[in-house]
Amino acid sequence: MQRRSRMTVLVDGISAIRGKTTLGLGVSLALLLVSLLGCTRYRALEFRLNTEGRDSASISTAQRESMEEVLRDLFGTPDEPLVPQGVSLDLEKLRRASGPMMRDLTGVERGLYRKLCVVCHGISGDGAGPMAGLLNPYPRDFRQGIFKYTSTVAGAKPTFRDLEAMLQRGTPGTGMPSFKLLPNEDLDCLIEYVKYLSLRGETELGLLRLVVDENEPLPLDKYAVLDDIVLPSAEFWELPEQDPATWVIVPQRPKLNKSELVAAIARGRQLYLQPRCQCVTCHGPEGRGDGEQTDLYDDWNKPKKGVTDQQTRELAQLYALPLQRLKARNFHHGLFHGGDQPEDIFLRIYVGIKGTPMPSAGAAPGIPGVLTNEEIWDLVFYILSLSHKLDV
Amino acid sequence: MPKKRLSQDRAGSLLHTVLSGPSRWSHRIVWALWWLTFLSLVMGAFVTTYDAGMAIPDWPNTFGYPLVFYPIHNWFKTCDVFLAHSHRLLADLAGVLSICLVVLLWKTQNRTLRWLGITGVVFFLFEALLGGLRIVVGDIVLANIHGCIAPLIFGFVTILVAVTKPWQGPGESAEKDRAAFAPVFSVDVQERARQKSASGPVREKKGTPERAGDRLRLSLAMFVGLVYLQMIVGAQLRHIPPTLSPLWPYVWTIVHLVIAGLIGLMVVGGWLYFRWPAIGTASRRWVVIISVIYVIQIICGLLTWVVNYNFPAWFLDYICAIHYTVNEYSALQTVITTTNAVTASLLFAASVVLLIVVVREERLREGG
Repeated sequence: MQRRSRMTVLVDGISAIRGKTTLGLGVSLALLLVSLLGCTRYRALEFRLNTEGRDSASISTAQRESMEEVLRDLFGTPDEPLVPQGVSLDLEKLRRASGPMMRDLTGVERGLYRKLCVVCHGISGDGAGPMAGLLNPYPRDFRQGIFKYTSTVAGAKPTFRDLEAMLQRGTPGTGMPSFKLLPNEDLDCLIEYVKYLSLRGETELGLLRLVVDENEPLPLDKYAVLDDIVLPSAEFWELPEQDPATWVIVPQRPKLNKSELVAAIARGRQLYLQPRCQCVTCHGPEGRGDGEQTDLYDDWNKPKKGVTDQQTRELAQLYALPLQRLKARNFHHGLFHGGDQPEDIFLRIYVGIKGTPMPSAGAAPGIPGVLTNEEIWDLVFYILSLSHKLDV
Repeated sequence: MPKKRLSQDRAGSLLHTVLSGPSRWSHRIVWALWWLTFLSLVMGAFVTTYDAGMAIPDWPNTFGYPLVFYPIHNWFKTCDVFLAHSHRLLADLAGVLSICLVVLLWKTQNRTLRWLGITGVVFFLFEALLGGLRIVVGDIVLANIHGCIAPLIFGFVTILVAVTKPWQGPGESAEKDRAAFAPVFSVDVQERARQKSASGPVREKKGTPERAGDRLRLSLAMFVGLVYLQMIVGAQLRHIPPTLSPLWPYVWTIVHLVIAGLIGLMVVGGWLYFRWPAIGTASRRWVVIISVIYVIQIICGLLTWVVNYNFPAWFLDYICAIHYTVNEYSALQTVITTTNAVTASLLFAASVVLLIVVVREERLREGG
């Protein structure tokens, strides 16, 4: 007799019990549905205490609970944000940006941050969202209140327009998208929420220093934290908006004819090579990003770098993401993360790129600049000439 | 009392009943169901790409209206509501059609087809309830499972298309078809098991046609399983819980790439194997179709990464500094990402069809 193949046996078997199979399938699926209903319900999210760089065991349970309670009282939760007293954040915008993504029955969309940002920037804005490990550079960690591409002087917070420009433009060459297709109201809500996360993160860091490093006695006084940590940070955020003349740099591009432009480029080249500008150290003599200084790290990665490789490996246990090195920009590629317009390059040189080894060359309140505005423009034209992006 | 063994003539007349007359309509309905399922799957993929899963906060109603009475002028107010509502409508229509199919299939004398129809209704009902639960509970895990089940249903409907394909009429091809399908639709399993045990075990020689056929079917079944596994991994990357550790997407991405490579190797293997003259024309045709879909899938997969997360830094630094900024919810991003998901389902369905075609061709060869 011809041997029946395994497939025929399988099919015959299925045919024989097909009625019972369908019934069994239906019952199994029904049971699965019921179990899913029980196991998968929405659970309100909480902010995780920022213990990066610290041994969790060094923070006692009482200290942890006290800090979390104060932060919850002041700032609420990812689903129900609160605005601390005296801080000028728009609660309605925060409510639209926070919580699970959905539209309510009136059609208003909520959960914008979770829809658009959380996958990279994380629930607490720690820059360690689920996809962060696959990205280079890492998404921004908002919690230190440092933002790279701003129009404000060294050390100052970004303006609303800086954050808006970032969302509108995106960051070319990185995973940060442009959100220019979104309504402006949605972008406003996201900007407000980013400021909220940043303020909360700075408060959290202040509390950790106070409680863990300085052994502040417990329980913590919420109002003392508000007065000593939250409000000063909030006021610092307001400074550029209240006094733009002092804190905000507005590039004024000179109008040059062709011969003047050529001369400016030549001057820029000379400046570029001068030691006081420190350009060659990182960007190399020809601007190809091949300077002798290659061990570059931003402020978010510097703490992860140990003196030895062994120490670096040990430090890696204390952070969500591994150490990531910076690469100095190759100007010939013309891929400028902060924007490729002359005004953008001017700001990068004038105010530096905050949180990175790229220094500020322009003046700030109480700090004389290394270069004058004219010298900075010469450098701008030279750099753009390398990337063939000049459009004067 | 042993079961009465069906004669070959009775099996043939059963087959005749299955493949002719009322089942022509069954086949048309099944084709309509296939298209509705496909369109619903496409809209579902758009819903996921556009993060529109919770665009409509209630279920089974739509902003308080019964599903089909939701005002048309509200559909187009926002893109996410349009996508979510369209997905629901198409899925509901597919569910209704599956019920009509059961009625039609019930008229046939074939119990297998009847139960296949009922199984289809059970699948659609389960998927609809799962989708509704996702809305009611608001958990992304349910969305993930919903997305993983959808291609299975699509594959199942594809099988229905294959098994309800009408028989053209009496003649030599009809005889061969009868022989090809008789084992599939036979009811006398016990009798044949009795005959096998009476004849004793038969050792097949290595390299016999039967063993080669077994290996081919096993390879194809593995291919189908691998494609589905790839879809599950892809679903993990499309339904990411906000508090997931960065480790998991990293792992899923590596696994996704490795499985893509394995599938590619099997596609190449398929090309080499199916060049044999003994292989039927239909099989070769489906190998070509699968290969084309696979190439599209690979291209879409790579582009999906770029339009969502840009080119990798190592590519920009050392290969080509392409000036590109990710544009969230742009048409390019939405279409490419969705196409990647949809072609995966097509690849799955095509691989299921190839398996069925290979089985059918083997039966025809054995019958001849």
